[in-house]
Amino acid sequence: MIAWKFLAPGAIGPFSRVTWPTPTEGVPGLWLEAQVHPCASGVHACEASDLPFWLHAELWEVELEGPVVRTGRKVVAPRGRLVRRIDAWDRGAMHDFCGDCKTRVEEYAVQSDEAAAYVADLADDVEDCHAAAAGDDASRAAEAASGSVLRNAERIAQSRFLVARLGLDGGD
Amino acid sequence: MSDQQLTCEELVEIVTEYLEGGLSDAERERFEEHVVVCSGCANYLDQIRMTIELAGRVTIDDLMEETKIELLAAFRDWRRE
Ligand SMILES: [Zn+2]
Repeated sequence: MIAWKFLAPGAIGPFSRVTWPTPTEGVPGLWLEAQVHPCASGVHACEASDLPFWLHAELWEVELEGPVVRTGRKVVAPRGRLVRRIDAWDRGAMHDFCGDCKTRVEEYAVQSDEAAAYVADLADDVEDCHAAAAGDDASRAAEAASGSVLRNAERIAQSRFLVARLGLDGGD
Repeated sequence: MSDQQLTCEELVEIVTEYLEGGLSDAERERFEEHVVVCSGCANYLDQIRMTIELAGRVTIDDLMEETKIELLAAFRDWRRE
């Protein structure tokens, strides 16, 4: 199964702190096995719909092998390897993602004063180019404007933006 | 997964459980989702990890109450800086 994984700079797992073997000359990196992975439950990645929850510095396409289990906002497998880095996820894309979130929050702000309080936060997120914070603030603004249905719709809008902007295949 | 988002205060209370693998999958996911969006808690987690590497082991009780209160105040203010 092909999935996606955000990593810290240097292909480092942001939580496991494991350095993933990277592909060389188009050949995928070595397999990372669950038993050598600090998280006992397996190798973690996510599907396109959950990308906005895990935004980090580097985005990679990951091949997962073995029984793949969907748990919460992750997919977990016994082993996985990096196939290619999504180079399109760069500072420009992060900035555009923040701007896209800000545009929607300005629409939510028209609907409610509580949502309007997030406009300044989004301006900070754009300035800081903090994509994860922008996604989170936008989902909170959506919830403030119209409850959990709009919050979920906001996250869907974010994942669709990423799939389109980054040219990701197999968006779920 | 849970719709209820973790606060900085809650994260500070469970950080050692997280590092010791004591959280359920759902709790772990809430913890990590918060760290992704909160620079203050990401820095805090890094500092705790570094402390553990240097000292071997630390628990939240090892942090003086005053230090903990200062940290929580800093988290509340970090975005405004
Ligand atoms: Zn926090």
